[in-house]
Amino acid sequence: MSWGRGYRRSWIALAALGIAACATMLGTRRAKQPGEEIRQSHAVHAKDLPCLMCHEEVPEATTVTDRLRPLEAKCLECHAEKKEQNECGFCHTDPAHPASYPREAHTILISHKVHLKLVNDDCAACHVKLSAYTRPGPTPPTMKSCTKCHEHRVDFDEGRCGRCHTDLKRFPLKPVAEFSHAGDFVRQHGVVASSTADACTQCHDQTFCADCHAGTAPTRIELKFSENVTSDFIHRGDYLTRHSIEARSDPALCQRCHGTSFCTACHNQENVAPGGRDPRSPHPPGWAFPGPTSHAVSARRDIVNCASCHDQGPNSNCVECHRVGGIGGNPHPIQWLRKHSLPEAYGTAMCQYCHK
Amino acid sequence: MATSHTTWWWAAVSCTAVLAGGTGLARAETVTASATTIVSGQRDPRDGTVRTVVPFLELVSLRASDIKNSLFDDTQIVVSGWGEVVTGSPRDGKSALGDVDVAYVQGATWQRRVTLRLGRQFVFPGTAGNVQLDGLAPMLRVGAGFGLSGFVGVPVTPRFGYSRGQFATGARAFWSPSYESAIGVSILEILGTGQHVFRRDAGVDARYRLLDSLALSGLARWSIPETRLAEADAALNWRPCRYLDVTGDYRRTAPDLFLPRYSLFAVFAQETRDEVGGFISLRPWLRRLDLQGDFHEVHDANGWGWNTGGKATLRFGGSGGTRVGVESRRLRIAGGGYLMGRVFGWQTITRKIRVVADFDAYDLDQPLNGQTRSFFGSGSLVYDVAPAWRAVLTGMDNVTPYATHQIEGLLKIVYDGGRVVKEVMP
Repeated sequence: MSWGRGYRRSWIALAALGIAACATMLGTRRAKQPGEEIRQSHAVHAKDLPCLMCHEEVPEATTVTDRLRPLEAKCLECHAEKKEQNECGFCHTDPAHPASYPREAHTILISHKVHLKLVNDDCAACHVKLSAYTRPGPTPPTMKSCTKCHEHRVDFDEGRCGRCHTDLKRFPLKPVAEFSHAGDFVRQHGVVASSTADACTQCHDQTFCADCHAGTAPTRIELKFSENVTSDFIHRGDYLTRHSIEARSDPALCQRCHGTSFCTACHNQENVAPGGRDPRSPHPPGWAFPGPTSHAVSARRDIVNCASCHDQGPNSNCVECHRVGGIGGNPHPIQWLRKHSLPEAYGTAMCQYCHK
Repeated sequence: MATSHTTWWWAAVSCTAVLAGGTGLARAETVTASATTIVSGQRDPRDGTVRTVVPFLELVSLRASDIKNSLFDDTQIVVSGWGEVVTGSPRDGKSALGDVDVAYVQGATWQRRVTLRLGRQFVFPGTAGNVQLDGLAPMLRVGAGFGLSGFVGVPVTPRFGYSRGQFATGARAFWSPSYESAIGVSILEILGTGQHVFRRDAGVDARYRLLDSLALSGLARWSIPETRLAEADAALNWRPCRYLDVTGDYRRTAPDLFLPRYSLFAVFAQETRDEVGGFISLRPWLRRLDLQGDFHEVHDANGWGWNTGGKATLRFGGSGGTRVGVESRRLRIAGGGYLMGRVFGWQTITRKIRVVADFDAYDLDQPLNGQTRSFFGSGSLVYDVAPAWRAVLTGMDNVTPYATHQIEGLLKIVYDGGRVVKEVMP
């Protein structure tokens, strides 16, 4: 292998990426937020004008739709002179390509018609941050403003989020404190899901789980979301190089998803397992016989590692030596006979490979 | 076309789901769909020679929820599957592949006290942990937080794997006083060919919020045939404020009990692995700076080892702006470990375009193929073409103990959209 050449290329590639990133950072300006097509400030307008003067559709609205936003004609009632003077930039953030509000899916279920009566047409009772919105874009109510009146605890405990939220799977909220995904959540989420899987299903359907956990999945999650560099994916980077180390470090972790046959399939193709076309042994000299490099100690300590190549049932090469009367002797651990009897062995197909 | 393990009733369930879907989609209040097309090309070093592999992969998922019908509330249909055509020299010799990851119909009845889910699904609660099966999973909420859940079906055979059993069943009784707390006891049995026991476990699981800032979660799984602990996991999470998150955890596993009980290898070993440690996350500058660190001491039959790591992520600029991060990990176990260093980041160029970069380097304690260093770099250009549409072009470059130099390219086109017609009537 020409390592020197390989190293140089990697460092050149890294340097190029670094330079590109720095150049982009210096040359870029703040990107526009969705919904910023129209330049207006609630902080300015709401100070002197009643909300319903612009949002005429609101008092009769039973759903949240784009129609609740004022149309251009409404704006022109006050700002007609700007249009006459072709000052498109007064309202449109991109005067060269003036656009209307973008279509947006709405995330909560609320009837303005009902609520306006309850708050005496005081929109700020729910939209508490209205005066703080100096930039255009959505002005949703805070959840706290909802729970001021609505007893939320019961719905929360029963997992009935759909009474207010249209679809938490499509529009997930930042997890509330009880379900924070911060910290060590990737490591702990399995244990959490074993007890409170119902809570997970409020925001995630099983296609989300399948991305990582489906034994049928066609590709690694790291490739499916190759642009997502901030997530803690388990097989990120050069996993091939470190897989044998991590499998030795925590064999059960691999077994949970893959099973030994997954290992064997690949090891056979790489010709390092007995099932390969022309297998080569990865074991040191003296491996098969008693002695300092004997396989016996390793097998006792890390049998999953052995199984990743040799688990072929009756065709496994263990049977040849370890069957009753074979030269390998009894392979069972000390406590084995306390839990398993010979009659059981004679009645179990797997045991009969050795106990004929 | 290769598929996972298929049974006659699985075919029936699929047909039911499709038929129900056909009629249900039109009546669903929320329909979401995603389609991801991935075309990649790589030089694949295999058995001493380098082959070229070019897979075309299409992943689709569809979810229709709140389907109006007279029998069930909260009815939903979820389907996710994929198909792949591989040109060049496919690794397993198969040029056309496809499978279904998830396909189920779910609904609630009897004032939402009974929930039924039918089809290909995951079962997570209790000792099941994570069983992917074709079958039925009912749940009954008795009242006062008490309930029963269960499942019955055929475990799905994973790709490149052998059957994970011919029949699986399990049950769990739970008490869930609030949505974030639950305690359960459960049993699980998976049988293989000829009724041989693949797994037969009993378990206890709990997640309980002791204080607003303190939560305890744990799981213990007992192997009934072996009369010993297969797995125990306990974690205490303390989150006093938004700036700090601390977790202490202990985990014990018996690795040999993760082999099928009828595997020939299940008779050779009886060892345990213990791991104890903690994790701390600091966010001194909220939404801008995130610092994480963890340390775990590992003990198994080979002796002591440890696994520790740290990660720092800094975000600046508005609207996604710039993110940069560094990460390091050191795994030290008997027989050798590795040291990993990583830098990553993304930069928003315009509202619709951003570039992403990632670079990993490894230093191995023990040589692998005579090498102790490995490098992996990737860069992506992400373009949000239109609402719900995204295109990603990724290039990857490796120098590893398995390949002097390997380049891989990937083009991905994603659609992720849907419609919502829910309405609140006054």
